Amino acid sequence: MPKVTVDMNLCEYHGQCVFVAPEEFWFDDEDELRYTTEVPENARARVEKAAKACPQLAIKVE
Amino acid sequence: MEVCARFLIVGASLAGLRAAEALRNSNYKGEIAIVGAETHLPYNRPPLSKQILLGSQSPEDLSFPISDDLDVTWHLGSAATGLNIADREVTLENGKVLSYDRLLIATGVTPFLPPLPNIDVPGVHSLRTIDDARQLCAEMQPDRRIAIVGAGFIGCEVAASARKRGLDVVVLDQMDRPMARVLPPSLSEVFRTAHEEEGVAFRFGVTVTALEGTDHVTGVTLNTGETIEADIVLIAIGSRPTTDWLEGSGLVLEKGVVCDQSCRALNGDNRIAAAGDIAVWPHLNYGEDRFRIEHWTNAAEQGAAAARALLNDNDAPYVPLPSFWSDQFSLKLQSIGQPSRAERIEIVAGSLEDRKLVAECWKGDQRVGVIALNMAPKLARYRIQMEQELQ
Ligand SMILES: Cc1cc2nc3c(=O)[nH]c(=O)nc-3n(C[C@H](O)[C@H](O)[C@H](O)COP(=O)(O)OP(=O)(O)OC[C@H]3O[C@@H](n4cnc5c(N)ncnc54)[C@H](O)[C@@H]3O)c2cc1C
Ligand code: SF4
Repeated sequence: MPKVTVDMNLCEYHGQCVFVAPEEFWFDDEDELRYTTEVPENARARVEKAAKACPQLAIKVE
Repeated sequence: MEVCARFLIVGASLAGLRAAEALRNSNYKGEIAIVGAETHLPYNRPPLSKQILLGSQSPEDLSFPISDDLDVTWHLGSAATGLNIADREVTLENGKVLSYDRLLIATGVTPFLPPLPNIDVPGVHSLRTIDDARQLCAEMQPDRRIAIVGAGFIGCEVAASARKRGLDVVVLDQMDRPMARVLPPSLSEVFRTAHEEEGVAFRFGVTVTALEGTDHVTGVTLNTGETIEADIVLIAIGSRPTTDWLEGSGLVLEKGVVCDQSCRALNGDNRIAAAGDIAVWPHLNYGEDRFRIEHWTNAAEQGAAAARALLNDNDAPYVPLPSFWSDQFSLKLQSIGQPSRAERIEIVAGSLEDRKLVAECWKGDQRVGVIALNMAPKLARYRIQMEQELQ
């Protein structure tokens, strides 16, 4: 299963990932970025798209 | 020397890279070649005025990840110098001639340097490339004085970075407030106050008439006659589309490469498109006026959209929701839509005093944009709504 990591030292809360892949990335009630660390294979394309949309290059998908 | 490349991309940056990726994602199996004037593989520019100047990221961190499957032939370090539409050929500085079936133009913009006396004296900088950032960074020693000409986004971001590094900073602009072309006055005010609290000095309503110094810059002279002493000068008064290599090609060049609704260049024989900072196109939801967007997200999205339009010969209009951000000191600004068109703003969450807010931007009864200050997460909802309004 693809593994997702966000380098929170780089993340600037631009929220592009939330927009592209709302099922895998979201802001919680405290406005912190949350994300699913392991996603099913059929979500790979979407999280890879989120990684490309991140202006901080903070998202890695393996 | 003749090399045949079916899909040729000129400009090895964000729009160009995303175009190549879109081609492969669309199962294009033919050859892709990318020409870049810089010697570097595509890298991310926004940190140049922020993390790079602050030293929290190094130039190596900026490289875009490039998949092996992309299978691109790179022609780096040699600018394109000419386009021959009839022969379908692009000439490079190093003498190579590349032929194409389809051509994507993504040569971005170049900082505008006004023809002022001594503009080329050492110590006068502009900021667009990693090499520019390295040179500026090397000069930015604490306690030196930097004069920044232009209080737009790049000027203000560099002001914040320089101040954080302990430089003496003055920002000059002919307008009466920072980021005046984009931000409503009340938000400009928040930024101005925040900068001043951190020790940045502003001089508004002035123009620079000359730079001073012979071996190295020593200051800038203003229209008021006064000279402001400076060890470093950054010129950040906007940029011009990099269309020099297209002069005389027959393409329509008016403040950029003029395109149709799906990013195909006018007079381009249906084989040429443009994307990113250089492309001027009519956004169908925003009326017939053609315009250009000089922001990251658009370069990425338009690169992909233009490549697909060229590959599939489709006429799907490119109608993105414009968006950008800026980081200065502890202020994080996010914008969607076209706030510069607003006649009034309505603060719907937070407040100016708290420097934390969401502002809807209205023109008549139309919501033309939304701005968030230190409240980016709250913008997500608007983004989805406004994006749907565009479909
Ligand atoms: C300092 C800085 C900070 C920024 N901050 C933000 C921000 O916070 N938010 C935001 O939304 N946007 C920001 N931007 C804007 C964003 O980086 C651009 O919108 C984006 O880079 C545009 O991508 P592009 O591919 O269209 O053009 P560019 O990135 O400009 O790339 C064009 C490439 O073409 C090459 N080239 C030029 N002429 C030729 C030629 N004749 N032949 C071959 N190659 C050529 C150039 O060398 C360049 O590499 C910033 C830009 C800068 C410079
Ligand atoms: S897009 Fe990148 S910077 Fe923005 S919230 Fe997601 S991970 Fe953070």
